[in-house]
Amino acid sequence: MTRPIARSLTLALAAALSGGLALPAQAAPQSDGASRMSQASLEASIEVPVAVIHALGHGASAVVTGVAVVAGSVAVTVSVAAAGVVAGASFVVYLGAEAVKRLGIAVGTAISVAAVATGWILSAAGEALCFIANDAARPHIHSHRYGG
Amino acid sequence: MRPFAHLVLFVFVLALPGTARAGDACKQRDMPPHKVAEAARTALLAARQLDEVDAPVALVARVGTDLSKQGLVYSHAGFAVRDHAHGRWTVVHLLNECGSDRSGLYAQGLVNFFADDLVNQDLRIVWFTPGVADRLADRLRQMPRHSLHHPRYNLIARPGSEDYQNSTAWIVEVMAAALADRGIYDRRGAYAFARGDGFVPDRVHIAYSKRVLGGLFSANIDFTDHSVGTRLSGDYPVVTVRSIFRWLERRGHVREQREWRGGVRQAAMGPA
Repeated sequence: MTRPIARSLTLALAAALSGGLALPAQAAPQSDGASRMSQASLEASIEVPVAVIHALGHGASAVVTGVAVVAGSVAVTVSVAAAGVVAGASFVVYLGAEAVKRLGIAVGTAISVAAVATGWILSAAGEALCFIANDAARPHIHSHRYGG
Repeated sequence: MRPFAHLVLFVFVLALPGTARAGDACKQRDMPPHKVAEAARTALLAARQLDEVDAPVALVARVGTDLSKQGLVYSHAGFAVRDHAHGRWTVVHLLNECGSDRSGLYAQGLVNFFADDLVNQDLRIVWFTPGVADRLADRLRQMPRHSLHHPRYNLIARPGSEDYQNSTAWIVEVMAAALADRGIYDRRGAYAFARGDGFVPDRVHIAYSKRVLGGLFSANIDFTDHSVGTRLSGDYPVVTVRSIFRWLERRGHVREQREWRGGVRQAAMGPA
């Protein structure tokens, strides 16, 4: 069955963004022991409307249309729209307050969109904000722990 | 398609398979977007390879930790299962959780598998002989039934330890259960079969001074799983990815292997 909402992996600001991305789920770190042999994997994901994927696939431009403080982080609403695509769409990325301030993110801030082979990297002020997987990569993003 | 398919909703989903990951070791860690994009590229490369070979399962190895000082390359591996209930190519593997002394069995997408803050995106895929592959896939699709999983984790678990298990030990035991032409449903029996089939653990040297001064004290490392003699010598028998590859190759369980280093397909398998 086709899922109603396209799932995309949206991840993390670079460590350079102090405070980082306050996504509700993140990589579960491991020991840095010399003979580390396993690692809990990255598990953060955001679902974005299928319209966002559609618009990005048509060369959409992106702009910040909302900024709100939510539980210690900042919910940044990014709206995308592509010429010839009737419906625009939006999604939310959670950023650290310091990063938002330093990058000067506010309503109206332009977000650059770079297409890569597996999706899109969205950036502000030259710093990557998130990765959104395309239709090819998206089916390979999931995580299930047996036994709950 | 469901009726609200095109509603513009924002749904934030925790894909965390259990958020009860308390403890300082479970702090949030950020992954730069370009690294996730790289992982996705590796995932698609792996998926194409897996699609090319008519097999229900393969072993996929990654470089999650720099083990070059131990003379090792691959640090972790998992079984990629075709047409798994969670996705066409789903990696079933054992993961240590948050640096604790616990582990869980996970079924993850290939992007998740390669987006784990790895040293690099090198990979090796090993396909098994058909009979072994069929039995292994059957076993993996039944998970968590007959999983052979033991949740007490030790990074340097003694091979054959019944008190602990790590990711690579689990692979050996599950492989052994699939190799056997009789049902094996206990860890001791599985490891005994592996040994009888020629599996030989690797040896990793961890000097006493390193143990004491090198910060190798953490919840997921327990040296006492090994004998006093072993601890005094500092030469610890462990199950490494390399030892698994050697076993499978030596015993003729490998049908085909492919490897990428630095994004380049290798003509021959390199050091593991």
